[in-house]
Amino acid sequence: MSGSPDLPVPAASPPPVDPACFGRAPLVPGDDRAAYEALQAQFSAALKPRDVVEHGWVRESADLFWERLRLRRQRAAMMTACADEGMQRLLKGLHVQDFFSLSKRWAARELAAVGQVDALLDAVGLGMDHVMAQTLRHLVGEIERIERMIASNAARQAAIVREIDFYRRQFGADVRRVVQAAEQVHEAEFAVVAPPLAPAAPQSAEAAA
Amino acid sequence: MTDTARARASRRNAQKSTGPKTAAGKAAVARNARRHGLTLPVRADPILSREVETLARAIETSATGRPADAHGHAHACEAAEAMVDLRRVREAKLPLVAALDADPRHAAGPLRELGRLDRYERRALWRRKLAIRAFAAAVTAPPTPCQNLAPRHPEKRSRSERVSKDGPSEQAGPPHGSRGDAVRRSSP
Repeated sequence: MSGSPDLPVPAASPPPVDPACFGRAPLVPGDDRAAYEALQAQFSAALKPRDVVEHGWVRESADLFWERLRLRRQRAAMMTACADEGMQRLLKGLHVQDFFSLSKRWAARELAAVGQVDALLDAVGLGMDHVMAQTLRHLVGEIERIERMIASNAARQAAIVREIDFYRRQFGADVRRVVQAAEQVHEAEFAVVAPPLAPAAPQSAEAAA
Repeated sequence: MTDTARARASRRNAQKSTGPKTAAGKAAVARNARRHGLTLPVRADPILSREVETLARAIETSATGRPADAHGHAHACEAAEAMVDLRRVREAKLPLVAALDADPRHAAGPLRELGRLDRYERRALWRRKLAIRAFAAAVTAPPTPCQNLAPRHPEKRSRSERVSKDGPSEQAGPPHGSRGDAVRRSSP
């Protein structure tokens, strides 16, 4: 007998999910597609999505993770790319005459400029940490924005994990309850009804025979 | 140049050009103020509407093995709508991320724009969360006898029914009350 028509029964083998319904991969020029796909596969294997909703969450989890890595990389790239600004500020503070051109040549890794800057910094007990601190001072607004984005990304990933957990618990528990209810109905339908017992023969007749 | 001469010159210039004449030009300027189109609801776009419908059906069949009833389908549509919205926001973010990647020295503009788009993403995430929870609740809740017996629209009960259940009433109009009132009234 099939299940009651009112009760939802989870699909025994869920139909394959079309990845196109979640949009294209969040890849930009320079991203490693193979690494992204490997990450997706890793998330999928770990979370074992069962339906479209869970597939969406898994995809999003991997995307958020990928974006977080990229944001960290971009933060580091910004600091490196703008290091000449930090150097410029530092040299200006040291009253170096041609601080602007020297910092540009230092950023272009001209050997003479690198040697000159190293000598200048050594003379006053400064190093690359101070250059990067000045760079951070220059970029603090942008870096703060990226930090906020990273924090929000991490919070969203944590929220997805909570949602998956809640969905599985709610869905799992409710489906289990519904299936149990359906089984009880079926068992009641097929319950073996014992025939009524035959009336016992009178004791006195037996005794007389 | 005096103000009068200036105004006259402006009027003359305005006569020379009053905007695009061709249909293609008009279509192009109609999109001048468009930034990303994320404020438009998904349902306003016929292509996206079809996608929402397909995705909603996929959500239903993958979760329960068959299409949901009208109530479940409505929640599946809400979830699908939020998912499509989320996809739109993320696709709008990609060029900005690419710009940030390409030129880290000029990150302020793309970062500001990404911050603006983040609001849309937050809203879509919130809507999706609520819709999925409502969908899961709708498809897993078995119909209770109380819900089955309760009239869906208490105001549509016939007069004889009203009289038999509530006693003779002088109230001419339909009873004011929500569905919850109807359930309370019909339950013992």
